[in-house]
Amino acid sequence: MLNHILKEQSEHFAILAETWLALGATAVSIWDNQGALLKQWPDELVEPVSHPADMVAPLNTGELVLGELRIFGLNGTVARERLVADSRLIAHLIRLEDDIEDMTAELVETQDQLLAMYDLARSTRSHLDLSQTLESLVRITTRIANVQTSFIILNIADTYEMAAHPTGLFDDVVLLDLFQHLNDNEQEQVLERHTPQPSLLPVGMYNLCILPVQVGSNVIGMLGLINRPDGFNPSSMNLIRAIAGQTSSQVENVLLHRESLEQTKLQTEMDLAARAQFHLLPQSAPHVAGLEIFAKTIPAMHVGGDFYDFIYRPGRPFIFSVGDVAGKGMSAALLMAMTRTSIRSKANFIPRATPEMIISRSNDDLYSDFARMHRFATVFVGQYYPQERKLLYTNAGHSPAIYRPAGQAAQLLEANGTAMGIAPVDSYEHQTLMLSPGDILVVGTDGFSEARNPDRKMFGLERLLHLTDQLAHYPAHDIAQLWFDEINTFEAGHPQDDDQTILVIKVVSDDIY
Amino acid sequence: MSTILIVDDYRVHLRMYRHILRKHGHRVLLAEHAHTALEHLKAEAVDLVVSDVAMPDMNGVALVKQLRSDERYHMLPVVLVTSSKQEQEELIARNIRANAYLTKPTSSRELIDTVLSLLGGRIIGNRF
Repeated sequence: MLNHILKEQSEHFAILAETWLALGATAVSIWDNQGALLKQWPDELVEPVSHPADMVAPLNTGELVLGELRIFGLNGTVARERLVADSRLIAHLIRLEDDIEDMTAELVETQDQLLAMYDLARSTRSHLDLSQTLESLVRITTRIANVQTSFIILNIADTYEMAAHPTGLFDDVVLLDLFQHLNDNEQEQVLERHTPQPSLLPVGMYNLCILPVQVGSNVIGMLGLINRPDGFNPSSMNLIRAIAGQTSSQVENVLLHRESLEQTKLQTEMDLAARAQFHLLPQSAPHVAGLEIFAKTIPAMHVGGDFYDFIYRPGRPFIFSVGDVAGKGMSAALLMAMTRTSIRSKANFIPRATPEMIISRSNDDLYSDFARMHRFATVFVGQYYPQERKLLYTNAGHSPAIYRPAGQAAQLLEANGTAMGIAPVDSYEHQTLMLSPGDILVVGTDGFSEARNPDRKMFGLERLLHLTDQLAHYPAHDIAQLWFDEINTFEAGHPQDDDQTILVIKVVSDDIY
Repeated sequence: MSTILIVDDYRVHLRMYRHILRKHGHRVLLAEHAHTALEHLKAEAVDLVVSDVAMPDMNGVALVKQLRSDERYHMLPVVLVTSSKQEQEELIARNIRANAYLTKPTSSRELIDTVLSLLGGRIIGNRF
């Protein structure tokens, strides 16, 4: 150390020595604690001065004596005081130099760690695939943490994802076994051959450090470092913890990316399903003499369980249906498609079909499917004979179905049968209405009657009846649109809870043929 | 043990490089200026020079040119430390006769690997 300081600060020592020589000293020398001469002034002196020094002061840092400062040819009180002051100054220099060396060591280590982390982040950020990311992480970790092998094991939804570098030094089974033994702890652990649990270390491992890999606050796996020649000392652990942190954040990024991809895929599928469902519904209402017909549906989610349908063939009565499969989303949409298709096929192919026959046969077909999925569907089927202005209908648990005879108050057409899917056999019946010009039939779904405002209050059937009365003078299209507008106003930004479907039929003309 | 001369006008870098190289058993000489480096070379047998590029008065490139113009230092391995990859590429393109390049900040491993490669005769990119 003293020799190092002498070289480092040679100019300053020279100035110090020159001052002593100027004061009358014949020689100044610095010796190490082994008795070896390190430096002597004046420079012309080739051999060490042979006679004893006139003044000697120790050079030390704390308790440690590093050497001596010797002065020749000068003595006296003033000189002695100066010698003591100089030796203290040199001791202080030694301490400062010591500190600078320590700080330099820290600086080098910190810079190395920062560069290693930068390297790790740069090498892994381009990967969005989990297995590639893990392979990249372990490859770089092995290098920058200076270990024989590093490995990562993640448990994602009960599936193990694993990577090790280099491969082949330790069997995957051995690493998985370690994972199962140590991962429950969810904490950083260092195992050395001499620690009390050496039996946990498999053959070929002399030390092991494992650190949790976290996504959010959940530990989803571990990073393991095997066989570090210098051991897992506090200084190396700073870097290793930083690596584990970077590993966690990189894994989290990849998992988030994967989730986002899955959501995009799901979104695309839902969009396709919504388009498919939209095309299942009639794209326009048929022209039926003496009637204005308008229908519209707005699902609460991408797809919904509501439907409406028109079946009208020349020479046959006009059949329409409105239905609501309990529940929302994809499962309701699937049952909706089945129900709508079943009703359509019965309406088309049963000779002289009536509404109750259509619903009853469809229930026969679909009951077991509904029961298996614990679902049901309310359905309203109407059958209109234009020449007689006669409407037959069967209401299988459906609401709201509102009939407003011209000039009279709107009234509910109560259900006259249970919803489809409730019972395997049901004796449905039909009701008959003789319609007149100005009469209105509105068949909606409970997305209207059960719409809620921000205070969670329901719109209710009474309001719908009143609304129908108020709108009676409007054409069918406007009545439907104003229902939607009124419900939107009522909901006041509260999200739509359920699918909303409406069919409006208005008898408009006395002059049918 | 090899003797390595480090040239850099920034004393913190000098200390850092010296710390790394000493830890690996090398004897280290320091120079804050290229002129001082040339004086060290006259006075001592140096096995390798690590020099910063950006220095006042005489920069690292000028130092390499000076060394290569003196037949005593034709074969002396020189590592130039640049401040960016771009600068490094420019120097390579200009055919500066350095044996290897490093870019700041340099990790201990990079410095040691480069020095060992050159001293071991496994010359990285001898660009004579």
